[in-house]
Amino acid sequence: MPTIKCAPIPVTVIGGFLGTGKTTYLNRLIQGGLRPDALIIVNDFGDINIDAALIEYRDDNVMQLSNGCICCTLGGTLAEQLAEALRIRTEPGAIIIEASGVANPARIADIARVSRRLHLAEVVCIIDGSRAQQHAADPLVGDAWRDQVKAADTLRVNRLAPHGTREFEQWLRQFNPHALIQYETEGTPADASLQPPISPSPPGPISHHAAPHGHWHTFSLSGQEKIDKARLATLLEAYQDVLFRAKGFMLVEPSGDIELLQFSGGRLHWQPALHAPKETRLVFIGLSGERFSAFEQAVRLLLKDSL
Amino acid sequence: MTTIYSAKRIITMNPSQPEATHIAVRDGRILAVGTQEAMQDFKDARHDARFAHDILLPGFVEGHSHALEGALWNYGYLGYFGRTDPDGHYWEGLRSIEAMQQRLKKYAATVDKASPVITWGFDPVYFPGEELNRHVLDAAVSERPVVVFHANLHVLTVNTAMLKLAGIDQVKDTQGIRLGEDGKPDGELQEMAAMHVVFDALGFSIFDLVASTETLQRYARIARHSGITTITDLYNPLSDEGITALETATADTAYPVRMVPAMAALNWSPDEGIARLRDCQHRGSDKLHFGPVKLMTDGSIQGYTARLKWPYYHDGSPNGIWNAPPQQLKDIVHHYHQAGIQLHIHCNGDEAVELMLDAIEEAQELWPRFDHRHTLQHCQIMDHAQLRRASRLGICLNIFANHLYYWGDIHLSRTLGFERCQRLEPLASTRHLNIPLAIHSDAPVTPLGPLFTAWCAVMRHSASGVQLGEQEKLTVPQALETITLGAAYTLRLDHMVGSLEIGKFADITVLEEDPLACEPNHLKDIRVKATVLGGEVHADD
Repeated sequence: MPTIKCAPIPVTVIGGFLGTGKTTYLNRLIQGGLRPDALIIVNDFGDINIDAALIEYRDDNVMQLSNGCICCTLGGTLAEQLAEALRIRTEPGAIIIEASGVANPARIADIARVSRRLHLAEVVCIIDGSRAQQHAADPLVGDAWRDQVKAADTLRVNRLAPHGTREFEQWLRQFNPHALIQYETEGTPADASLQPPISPSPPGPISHHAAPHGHWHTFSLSGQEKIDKARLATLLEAYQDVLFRAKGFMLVEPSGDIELLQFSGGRLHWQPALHAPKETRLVFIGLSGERFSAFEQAVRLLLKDSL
Repeated sequence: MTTIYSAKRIITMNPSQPEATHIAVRDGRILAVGTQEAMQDFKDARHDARFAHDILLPGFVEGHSHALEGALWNYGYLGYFGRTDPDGHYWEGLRSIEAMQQRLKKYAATVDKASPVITWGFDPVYFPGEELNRHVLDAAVSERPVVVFHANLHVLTVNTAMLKLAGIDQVKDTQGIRLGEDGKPDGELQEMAAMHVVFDALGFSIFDLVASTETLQRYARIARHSGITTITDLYNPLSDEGITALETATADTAYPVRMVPAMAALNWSPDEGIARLRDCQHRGSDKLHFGPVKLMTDGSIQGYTARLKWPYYHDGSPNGIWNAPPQQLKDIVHHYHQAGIQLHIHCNGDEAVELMLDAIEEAQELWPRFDHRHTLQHCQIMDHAQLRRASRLGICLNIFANHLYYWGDIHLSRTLGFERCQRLEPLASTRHLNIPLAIHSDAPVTPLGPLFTAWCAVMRHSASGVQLGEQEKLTVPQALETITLGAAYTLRLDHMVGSLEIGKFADITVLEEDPLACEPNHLKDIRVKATVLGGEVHADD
């Protein structure tokens, strides 16, 4: 049985929705310099902006950094993971937990409140100001969003136009009247003086087709028209934010050869097709909305122009 | 060496030849099934008449259960319903708090004096108006720490000694730690915080025990007793240690079941998870089948953590919780689908079902795959529009039929109400739409026992005897198919197990009575006499 020797370990919980910037915030904390014996528990190492040269050791769930920090991915329940981490590792000097995008930070904070080896330092909730109202009203996740906001000591709002803060704050206060609210407006992080500049983190493994809420729209083209590869490529690249997949056969200008087109994860690939029908048959799949409609129009125009 | 078993009746699940009286086995596989005359061709065969008065079926396939069942039997059982342990010992169900105290006291006497007394299976929903707290436990055992895991494994009750050991006998104002009338913690500890503080004080977690050969051995023994020859561990971490344990346990020639671990998706990023499954791809054996991935979307209906569509919970409780952001859950589906991997997806509530139907439909639009066999697990109150979508998308369903019995009364009165209970576990509708169908126990949530699960599907009786949803009943032959070929299909093993026909593994369940001839209500009481796995007979001593 463990005996209690030293002061309880401070625990910080970072909550907030998928895509609101939790990891960016965490990266900023790491780059700002954490105490070397900190234990960081994250959803996925892939999102954390750690210099590969700093990684000293890594297995399935744990990454040891040469500056002392230990990172740990979430697997099983957090309570299990935490209990295990405290059992098998040297006692960390601080614990920072990046909650899952739908976790209720209050439940995680309870762990620190209950355990005599831990002490709850802060619950931070990151809020995407541009999408907060949409998140709050979302039938699938609105309740989780409200719980996150309610549980926080500090609400850090980003992606909000500087002039919109007063109204936004009024609206936000109805969910949590007591928390400290910090703003991070375009280009000027609230605590810019305290933190080093951040390089954009590389896209995580799933971000390249992480669609925001909405539905897929698909359209197809077929016919005998030839298409200019370069112009189509420019269009695909310009609209890759709403375009998830394009594929099919096309007659290429000016040779008239048939080529197989594959566009996936922002990458475009062409290859000669041998056993294909001598006509253009293309399918485009993307996120329905005005922008995708504009893309569709542009592609159809391109096809007409090619005639 | 060829062995010919004769039987009173062989129910084969082979549509071309549904019945037989003799089965010939060679090198662990089925050589022939048919009449006595049909066996004349095998001149040197050894005849074995030990099952001559019994009924043979394809070995039962449990398509959704957890090896944790094997770990929990390290500890004392305090459940409301009777249950059989790995040694075949039947633990009577405990119908009163008093009976529970007696069991606890008796069990504590068998536990080493230096160790805490750990028990599991207590289900408070069956004791309305009564309260389990530290005083109740102290009355049975006070001199050392006691932990009672509730059936859902999300709540525990501990005695005063355990509260003191964990250092939480005086705390206040903490959600998850219930206070008694005296303003002090009364012993009930809910959710993660409680689990953490108790595991921390005990120095181990009950959930760590899954990656051990001993747990897997015990799990297999319980399975064999109920006639199972193929079983899943449908949320395996596939850690290095876990894989080694699986390999070691199943390599033992005496290991009595084939094992299908499904990797816990949320333990890995999709790219890492796909890589890990690739690594395992060639590490399997006849008795160990790697391949699928398991995704958890929401919680449970009786725990009020499932995600339901409007009007949500019948008694007005708030909607449940997602295990990961919905968009992330969809992305995970897309990733594994694109990689050609089969997904088993836990979705209890109909809102979770809807999200996963959307995810699979999108994945199919982007990367069409025939025969993906993605299987929705539990999916207890799918509506008919959802069933039709599932049918169109080529999805399989593995439905949690045991809920009808264990929580049917609670769903009727509290969580779902009358109408949704008419389509609770929509089994007949699933069949009408030609959706591949299995049913399961989700052990340790409910006990392993395919015949009991089949009985639930046929009778649809709650524990209090109310019939829920007469239109959704299965016939006995249909129910038998769901626990054999149906489940094998959802595991992509139907070419190897699930029916008795030439070339398949000689996996057989031996019953003392004929399920097709007895009263349907008697199905659950039929005794399993033995199982045969790859031609090896495993019988009770």
